[in-house]
Amino acid sequence: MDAEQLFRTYHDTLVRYLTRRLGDRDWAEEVAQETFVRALRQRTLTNERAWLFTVANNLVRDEARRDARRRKHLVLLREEARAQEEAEPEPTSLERAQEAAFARRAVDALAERDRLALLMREEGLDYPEIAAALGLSVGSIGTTLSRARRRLVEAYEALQKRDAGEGGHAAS
Amino acid sequence: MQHPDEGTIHAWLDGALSAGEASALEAHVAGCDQCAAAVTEARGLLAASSRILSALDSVPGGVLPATAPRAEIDDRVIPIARPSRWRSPGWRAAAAIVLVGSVSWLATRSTPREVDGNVAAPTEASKVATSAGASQQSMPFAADSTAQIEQQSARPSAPQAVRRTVMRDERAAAEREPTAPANKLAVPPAPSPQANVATTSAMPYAAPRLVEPPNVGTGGGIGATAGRVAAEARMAAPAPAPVAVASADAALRADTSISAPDRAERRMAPASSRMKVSAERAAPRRMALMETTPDADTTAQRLAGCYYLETASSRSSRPAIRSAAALVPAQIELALDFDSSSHAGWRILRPAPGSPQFATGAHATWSAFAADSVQLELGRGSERVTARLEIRGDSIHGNATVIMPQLDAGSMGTGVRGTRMLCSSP
Repeated sequence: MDAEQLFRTYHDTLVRYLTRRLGDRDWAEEVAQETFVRALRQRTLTNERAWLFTVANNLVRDEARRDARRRKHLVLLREEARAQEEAEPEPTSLERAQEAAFARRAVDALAERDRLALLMREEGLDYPEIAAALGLSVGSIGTTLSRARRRLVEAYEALQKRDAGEGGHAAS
Repeated sequence: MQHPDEGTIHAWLDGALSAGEASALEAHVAGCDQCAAAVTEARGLLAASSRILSALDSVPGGVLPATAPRAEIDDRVIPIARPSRWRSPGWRAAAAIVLVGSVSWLATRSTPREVDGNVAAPTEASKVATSAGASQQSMPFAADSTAQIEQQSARPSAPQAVRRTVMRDERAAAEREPTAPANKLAVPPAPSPQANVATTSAMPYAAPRLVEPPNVGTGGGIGATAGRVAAEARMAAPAPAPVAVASADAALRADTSISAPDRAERRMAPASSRMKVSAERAAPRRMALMETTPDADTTAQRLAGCYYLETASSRSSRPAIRSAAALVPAQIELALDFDSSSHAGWRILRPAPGSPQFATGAHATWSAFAADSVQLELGRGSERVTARLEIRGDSIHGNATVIMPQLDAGSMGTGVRGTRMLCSSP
């Protein structure tokens, strides 16, 4: 598969996965970019999709480990720049913003392994690919996913209920 | 067979079991109420978690936007790249003209006269001018710009701009005519936008149709919600065979991820205030999905116009990536070229009026390839940009691939977003 085709096939999927994982599209784009750069240095890739996700996971982990402080600083600078821009390309409704905030918190509440497995599954990776990317046995992926899904939904519902309760108090 | 554990049920629903395992499980579930209930709940969890994760996609850049009450959404239709320009009186006036044109069109549309989407009535511009005063009350920012509207209307170029805008409105509205989606599940009568908001906030991932009372699951909130969602999956595919499950889940995701009225609302959401006025005043029930068959010509006419673009990688810390990102022009015009019969379906892409020439100075084209999307091709020799962008309302976003020898990999992809602008020099 040539560079362009590899990119066209997997870029959107990888960026969505990373955005969901990191909560930052720019960061996701950068990691995806680096992942493709590395992919193109490989002579052969037996399972392109699993390889890309594994490398992206490793890049995020390595960067988090090595550059935690620098990253915080950059994020801070970026937030400041955004605040100055005062621009929002798509006016997002209060409801959607709240949904997204709850979803973010619910996803962040998951254990790392559960979160990655679930996010990769959502991007269409099959059980062997997820197992390969996370270094788990294929037989354990069903259990991992079922636990992740249940906890995600539970956490989300709890946030909603709490919010509804606070809303009720405020109204009364 | 023993009762399958939850992980095995999820693996089955995900199509990860072997054929033998799947058929054994299927046979067991058919005769075991307890396991059937567990399967139902698992389906609900699957759909619900997908729905929750998809909510993460609506936040660009990881920053939750500052939210504003709906009534206060006025001229924040804005630009990413050049906010200050949109705050200038001229742009406000232009925005007001767009709004007024839309209101004027709505007024004329309620008469029996047949509106021809391709030919603008010659009196549209004057109608706009006369209805400006009448419409002031409903437009928060119109008061301070009415004088400017009239001034602009008096200039020879202004009516033309208005006419173009009105034409675009008519086409856009024509696209929003209720077209019954042939292969969709039943769509309930659209509630008012307010009612819709209440629905979505109360039941964010439950489907709008409650076809079966929830009586399965572990009890409590999750089971109840999951049960409701799963009930629909059963309606869509009664037999729990793996293949049927896959299609049921697909249908379920399509159906429950966003309810039909919510989809309509989302389609409207990013549009300018012009669109909001059209939708809220004229025909809230006409906000049907734009499920039309992509028609290259109609689509091209509707999407043609000028846009600001901003490229995500232009903020990269790497100079090579920044310079590659600079190949994506900041202001473009998707121009229609009806005379060029040799380029059927292809259109001319050029810099928006008043903006600099493209960096490569090359001939460039664009084409509409779906109901809401365009593909841009720009470049010469070894430097090339290909972008696929979706246009929703006045927002444009998507991805661009830049091919440039200076890049490590020879090419890179980057996110692009932007907004519609008027095709005239400011």
